[in-house]
Amino acid sequence: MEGYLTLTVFTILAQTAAGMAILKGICPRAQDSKFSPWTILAIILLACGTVASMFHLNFPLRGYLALSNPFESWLSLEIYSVLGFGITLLLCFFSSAYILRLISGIAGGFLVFVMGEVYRNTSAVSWETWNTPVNFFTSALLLGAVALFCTSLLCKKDKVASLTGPLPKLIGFFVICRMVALALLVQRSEVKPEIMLMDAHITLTVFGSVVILVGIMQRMLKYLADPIDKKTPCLSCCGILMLLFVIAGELSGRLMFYMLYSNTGL
Amino acid sequence: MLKNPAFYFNSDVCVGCKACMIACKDKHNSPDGISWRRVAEYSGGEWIEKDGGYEQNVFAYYISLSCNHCEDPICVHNCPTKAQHKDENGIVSIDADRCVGCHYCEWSCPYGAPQFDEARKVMTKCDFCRDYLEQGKAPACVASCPCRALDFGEFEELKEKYGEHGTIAPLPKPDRTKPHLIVEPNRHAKPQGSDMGIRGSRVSNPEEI
Repeated sequence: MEGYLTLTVFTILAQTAAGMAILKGICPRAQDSKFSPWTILAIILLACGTVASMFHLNFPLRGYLALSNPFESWLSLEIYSVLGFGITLLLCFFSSAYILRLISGIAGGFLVFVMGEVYRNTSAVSWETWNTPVNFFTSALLLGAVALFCTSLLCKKDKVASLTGPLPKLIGFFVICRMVALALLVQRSEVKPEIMLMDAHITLTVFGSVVILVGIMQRMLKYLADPIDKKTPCLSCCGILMLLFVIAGELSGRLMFYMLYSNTGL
Repeated sequence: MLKNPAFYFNSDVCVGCKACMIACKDKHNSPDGISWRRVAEYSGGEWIEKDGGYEQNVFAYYISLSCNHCEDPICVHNCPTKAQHKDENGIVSIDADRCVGCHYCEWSCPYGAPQFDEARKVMTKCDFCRDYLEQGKAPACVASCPCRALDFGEFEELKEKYGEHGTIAPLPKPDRTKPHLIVEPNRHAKPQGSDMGIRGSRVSNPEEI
């Protein structure tokens, strides 16, 4: 399980960064400045994830050899995708041009697709389905939306605008997508029912909490209509709490995903 | 030296003695937890009450299995470092100096052939007893089988000699990797994908393999 933990950390952090870039890339109307907070967060997350992934290797110093087979091995291509995505994020950090955000979003989307294929292209019965990349995309979009929301609550002065913007609604939508995708994954797997139930239970419970949190935050809007706003600091805490909940949910869901690994009848 | 080596296994005569497994471990001095050749058991069935008496349909048979040095080895395709490769003799091998220990070949192989050596921190697998082949000898597993359930040779020659048979449970579908393996089905053999075993579609002795 120790080896899986490093992979889990890598996939969650890289997916969060990719999800942020995808959402920023598909919103041409959103204004961005140089050195925007979301690019800093995305770069840090991607860097931490990449370092964590090195600990999965038994010979980290030979890690460069994994760049040898990008045309056949999804794992090799994944490393190129991480590098390419990192470069586009750096460009976004130094420029406010929308085209760069779009390119970064495409690079992030490609990275998530390749990550899904790394797992789908194995002999594990419960992974070898179209549902695996779908799970990776829903997970990336949910994590990205929550991270963007959190960034916006922490960094923007007008926190009410963050709440009335599209992100809370998007989070609610992505939570539903993620739950459906996970339910389908569990349904299609061929493993012991108790593991399936445990997976469903943890996922639904934790993600249910997120839905409640979104509801609470929407209700708080009414109180925030008051111009003398003294409750905004607790909103930032709420945002961070939500991010922690989602990451915890993803962590448990991902560890269950690894537990679903079953190498055919043998 | 063979150019397209393959194994033949006759499930009908195998008694599950595991001499092949022990011979392989002995020859390669494999550490605990590593068995390049394994003997899987597939068993199931039940007793059914009928006309005041009982009838049964219980069954059990064995499959001796190692790396099949596939025609289209997915472990080779998926290896990010090209440590896994198919050499000039058609043997799927691992270059230990290039292996980073990422386990991706282990995830990829539907037969579970690549196995991780905890001491050396690299993947290992059946090398078809390359040194024995060079000396004109049979691989250790084939030579040790007391029932003559195992044979080896050029894939095409084996197909001519024994005929082509479909695969049986609990083996995976052969279309993905095109294994160089011919299995003579046991008379009680269940078709590939069957879930009639006591553990469904899985082997009955997972701890052993």
